[in-house]
Amino acid sequence: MKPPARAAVILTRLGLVLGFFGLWEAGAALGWLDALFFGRPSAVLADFWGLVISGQVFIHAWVTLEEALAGFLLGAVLGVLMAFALAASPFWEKVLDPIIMLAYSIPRIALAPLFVLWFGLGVASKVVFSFMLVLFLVFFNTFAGLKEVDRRMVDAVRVMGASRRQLLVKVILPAITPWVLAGLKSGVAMSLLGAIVGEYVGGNAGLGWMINSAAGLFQTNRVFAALVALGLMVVGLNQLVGRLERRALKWRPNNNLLS
Amino acid sequence: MIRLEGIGQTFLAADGSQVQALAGIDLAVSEGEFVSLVGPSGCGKTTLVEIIAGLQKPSAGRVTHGHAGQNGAFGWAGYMSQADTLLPWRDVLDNAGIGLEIRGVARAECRRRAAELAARVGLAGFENRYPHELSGGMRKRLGLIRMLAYEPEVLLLDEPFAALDAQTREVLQNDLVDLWRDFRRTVIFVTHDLMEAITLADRVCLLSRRPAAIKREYRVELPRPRTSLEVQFSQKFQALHQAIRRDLMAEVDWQKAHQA
Ligand SMILES: Nc1ncnc2c1ncn2[C@@H]1O[C@H](COP(=O)(O)OP(=O)(O)O)[C@@H](O)[C@H]1O
Ligand SMILES: [Mg+2]
Repeated sequence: MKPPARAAVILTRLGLVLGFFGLWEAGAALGWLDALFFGRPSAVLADFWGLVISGQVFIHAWVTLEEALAGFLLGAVLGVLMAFALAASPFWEKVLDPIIMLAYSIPRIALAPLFVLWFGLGVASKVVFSFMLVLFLVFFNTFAGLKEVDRRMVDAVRVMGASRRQLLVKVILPAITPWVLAGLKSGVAMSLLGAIVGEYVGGNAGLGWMINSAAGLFQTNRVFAALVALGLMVVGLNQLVGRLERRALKWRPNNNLLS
Repeated sequence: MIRLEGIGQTFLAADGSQVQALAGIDLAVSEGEFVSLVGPSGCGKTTLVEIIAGLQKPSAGRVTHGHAGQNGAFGWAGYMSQADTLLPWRDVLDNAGIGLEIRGVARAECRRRAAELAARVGLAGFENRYPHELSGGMRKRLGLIRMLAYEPEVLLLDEPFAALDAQTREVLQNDLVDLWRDFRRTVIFVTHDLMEAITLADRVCLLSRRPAAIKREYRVELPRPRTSLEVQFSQKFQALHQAIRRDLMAEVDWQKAHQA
């Protein structure tokens, strides 16, 4: 199939977005939409700008980012280590398999109130919650990657006389990199989700707290303003991870199977 | 010099039954000799090569080779199977140089030596390509030079060219013989292709049906250099081919008759 023209794609996309916000703005201005519940794009922008000027948005965004990043890093490191530990020991893999599956299948969002109870209203409970969400993701991805490493590829290098350490560094780690990166990529989104939900449940700072408390006061425009900030943050983080991924996986062929 | 003494291998199959793949393999291969192993499919050729390489422990017998790191240590042999085991994240030179890298040679030097070998097998101009950017034949050539780069004493090849089309296979066979002539390594070459076995080797060993033992050996007294085209039309070649084929078919037929 012929690839669609770039200009057409961008123009159509822009049209859709502008049309959506235009309709929203017009609806609110003409009174078809109740501004109390639905807010109004122009007012959202104004409120967002006000938060930027006062610096408030940065304070709260930083709190959320800190919580998410701490949870992410802890979860990523421990997830990878756990996967290696289990892959190295068939005995413990057998022992722990049903326990891990059970822990995984509990909807962990439901545990958020417990974490707040245990770790307080501050940063710690959000970090722990983010950590729990990221841990499983990275663990499962890394573990699956380790199981998929081609034994014949490892054997070929082993016969050359590679030590265990060399096999790890030169074969196994590069081989699982795509898997780990896939886990980290979804982990970034998960860690933010963890921080936000943690703040909803009980907190006194952060974008999640901001959204939750504004919604309680029917400050709909403030809710959307905080969402704008959150959206910008996610886009920035995804860019970062995407760049990392392209760098690490530049050797990979592009298989766009569906295009 | 490699000596196999009474090599036997018995597997425990998934259903709990025992599968005896090898029984009492005795074989001595002298320095610089090129030996082909042929035998019915499933008789235990891959098992035998993996045992020689040290990737499997035999349930009986032993392998001796006069090289450093006797028994259990790796690094004395080069090994190549039918599988594509190049590292997809390394370009041609980094793939070819990995054996040297493992020995502590600096990366720049690894790449320099790899580049010399790459040029020898027609990979010049592809030094910085990744494996997925190469044709099947080029990947096999890269596999060959990766195996030779660290100068192992013995080359163990398990149907390395089986997945290639006939023309490419012939080119690769010639590449291998050229490299073997220059490097003078001991080669053990497994194949199910009798033409290939005879064209390449000094000696062809026929394995019996499972459990495999060496059934017969044939000296290939054809002058070198042999180009496959010329040699395969010679009287001597055809007589030898027929003789081995007859013996091989006897094993295959027996296997068929007793398997159903
Ligand atoms: N790990 C294993 N467990 C059980 N049976 C095996 C194993 N490896 C090989 N076999 C059996 O041993 C026999 C020889 O296999 P193989 O050496 O691959 O034969 P070839 O390479 O000659 O085709 C086959 O019957 C195969 O099913
Ligand atoms: Mg085989």
